[in-house]
Amino acid sequence: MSALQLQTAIARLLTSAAFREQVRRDGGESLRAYELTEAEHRELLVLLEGRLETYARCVGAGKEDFLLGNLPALVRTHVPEALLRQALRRFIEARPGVRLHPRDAGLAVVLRWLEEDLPSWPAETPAHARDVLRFERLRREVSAALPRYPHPKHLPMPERLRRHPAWDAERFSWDVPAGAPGEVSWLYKHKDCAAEITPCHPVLADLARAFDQPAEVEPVVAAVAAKHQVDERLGPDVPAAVREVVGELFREGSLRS
Amino acid sequence: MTVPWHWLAPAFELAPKGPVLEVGAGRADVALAWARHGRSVLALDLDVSRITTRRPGRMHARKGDLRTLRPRERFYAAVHAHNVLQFLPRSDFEESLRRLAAAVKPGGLLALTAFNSRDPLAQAPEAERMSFAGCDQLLALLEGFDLGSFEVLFRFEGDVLEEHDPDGIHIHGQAHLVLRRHGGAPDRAKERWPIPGPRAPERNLGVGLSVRGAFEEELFGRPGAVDVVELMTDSFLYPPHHREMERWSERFPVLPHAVTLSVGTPLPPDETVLAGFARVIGQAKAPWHSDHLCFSHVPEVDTASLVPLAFTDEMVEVVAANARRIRELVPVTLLLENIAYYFRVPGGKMDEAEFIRKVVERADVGLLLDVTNLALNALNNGYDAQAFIDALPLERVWQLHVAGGERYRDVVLDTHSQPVPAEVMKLVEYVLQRAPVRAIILERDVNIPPLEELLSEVEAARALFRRYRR
Repeated sequence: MSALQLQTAIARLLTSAAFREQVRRDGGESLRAYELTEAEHRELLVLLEGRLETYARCVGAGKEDFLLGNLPALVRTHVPEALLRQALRRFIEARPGVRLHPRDAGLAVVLRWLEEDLPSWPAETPAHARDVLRFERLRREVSAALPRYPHPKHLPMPERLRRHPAWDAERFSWDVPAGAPGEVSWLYKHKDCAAEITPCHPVLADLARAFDQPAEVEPVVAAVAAKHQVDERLGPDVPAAVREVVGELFREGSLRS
Repeated sequence: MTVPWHWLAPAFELAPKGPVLEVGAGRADVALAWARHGRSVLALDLDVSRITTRRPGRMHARKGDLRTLRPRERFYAAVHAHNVLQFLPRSDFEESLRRLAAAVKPGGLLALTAFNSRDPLAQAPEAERMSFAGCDQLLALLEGFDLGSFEVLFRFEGDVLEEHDPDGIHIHGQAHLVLRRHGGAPDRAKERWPIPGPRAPERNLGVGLSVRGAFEEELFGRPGAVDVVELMTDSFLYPPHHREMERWSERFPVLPHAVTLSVGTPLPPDETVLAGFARVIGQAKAPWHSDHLCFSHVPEVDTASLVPLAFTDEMVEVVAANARRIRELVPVTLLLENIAYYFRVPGGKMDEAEFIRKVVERADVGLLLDVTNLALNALNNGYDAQAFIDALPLERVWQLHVAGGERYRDVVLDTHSQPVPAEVMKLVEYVLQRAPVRAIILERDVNIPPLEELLSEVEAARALFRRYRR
């Protein structure tokens, strides 16, 4: 296990600026938490004053860039980058063990953490940040949901959608009115044979709420279509548009930002 | 059939002579395969209509299920029950398993795939009427049957992603075992579950790009623009991207490359992740797949980067053990890549070239030589790059990586942000003269220029490659 202890100490030093600072301050006492030999302990302290710091900055910046680059486009375009970077640095310190794969729906973990971190964000944080983060988290979770349901091949969508255990949606606090300044909009259009979705329209928020519990598709479609009946962006046949959105939500490969 | 075929196929060689039984056969894929291997097979299922009527004469299909089965004791050379045990009521589970085990002749094989308690069905209302068991539970039950011991030849336990009608995409928590019953011919009892070694690729793949989001759609639309593409295996493990590797492989030869296997972490690799790798790499139809000779995560910390290992014999054994497990579950040749490193991990007892040689030989894998990393390491650590190359196991170098780095303070970093420097291309030529390289991949992660610019770099490397690989 000593190899694992040494690797854990190195990984902590590489990913946590706070830990490196602490080790420097206490003359290496913090490294005693790991079962290192005296030689390993001594060599790590020497490394810390040398190239390890340089590499650690690269690792930290790389992890930050990786997280930022994989945040949904909606988040990146509607929340100032400086605020996101500050929060991501806090995330890296607070949750060093979270493993992410590129394009992974596990990014929902980061979005949830950012949402919970919002109270510590500065006053200039836009009011819609909470909803953007919450919405995108839900969307990730929906896209990762692996429902088990029987459905005939010829139907474009399942008749009934089962709640995914990861869903625990709360109510969105802020629906975006069409055309509002700082609008969060969903451009809904077709490209070739596929629907192209640029997040996001409040319809999606409504659907996220509705499918936060087991629900029949058609009644949800009817209710959401009725609410957005006057929204010209959904075209002349609003129920059909909403039905298509539902199909897209639960079809693989349709929810890329 | 939900068990990857390569997790079963070695059984054909390891089983003693004699007939084979498959219960809950479904379409009887396993039974058919045995019959094609010349065995007499009985396939049992409640619905035999799904079994093809165009089957070999030595294969028999009969209607029935596990509970009514009265197999002849100590009769079959192999007994299979895959994804059927879960349908047994709990009251029948133990007795049915005992009957299956008793049917295996001494030295014969028992292959089981059960749903474990992580399966989503275990949370469903119908779970009350079903049985869930992991590998340890199955083995404990078998031990209590007084049938003699069963040796574990192959074992897997994890989540497996599946996609088929009528369920669409879904996950099963799966326990898979292939066991050998004690007894039989002593010489056969020594035979181990085979793990294929690295196979030298027979044909040249050529020169290509590691695909990045900035140009992936444009490149996808231009088949033939490069000879081969490299795709990040880790990116395609989960829906909705779980078929991307297949999509690309229909247009280009694909080399799957990963960053998260962390072969240097002194813990067994995550089997669920490896099952995902096996599925995705299978889609690529690639001659090999690769990851880095490093660690990237430990249980408490994910560095999201490639961290060097201590150059010790202990780490050689760690990598060899992890590589063995990877090779067991992902039956495609594994290549490990040398990384750029900026500090030496305490405790090292040998130089990097010796460490790489020992790892590659002990782990029985190929080497993906990142020539840029090699050049940067030589520069940063003050050694001779060509002498380093000469010390490597060049006969196992089948792929090269090239990229351009940047100077930062007193080191040159492997940033993948610049065109490939001329001195790196000179080293590429040096390697091409000495190693059986089959593919060169250009990497560019940041500061990505228009695709045409990258393709002109590919073309330059291609000219060099063709000079030595006609």
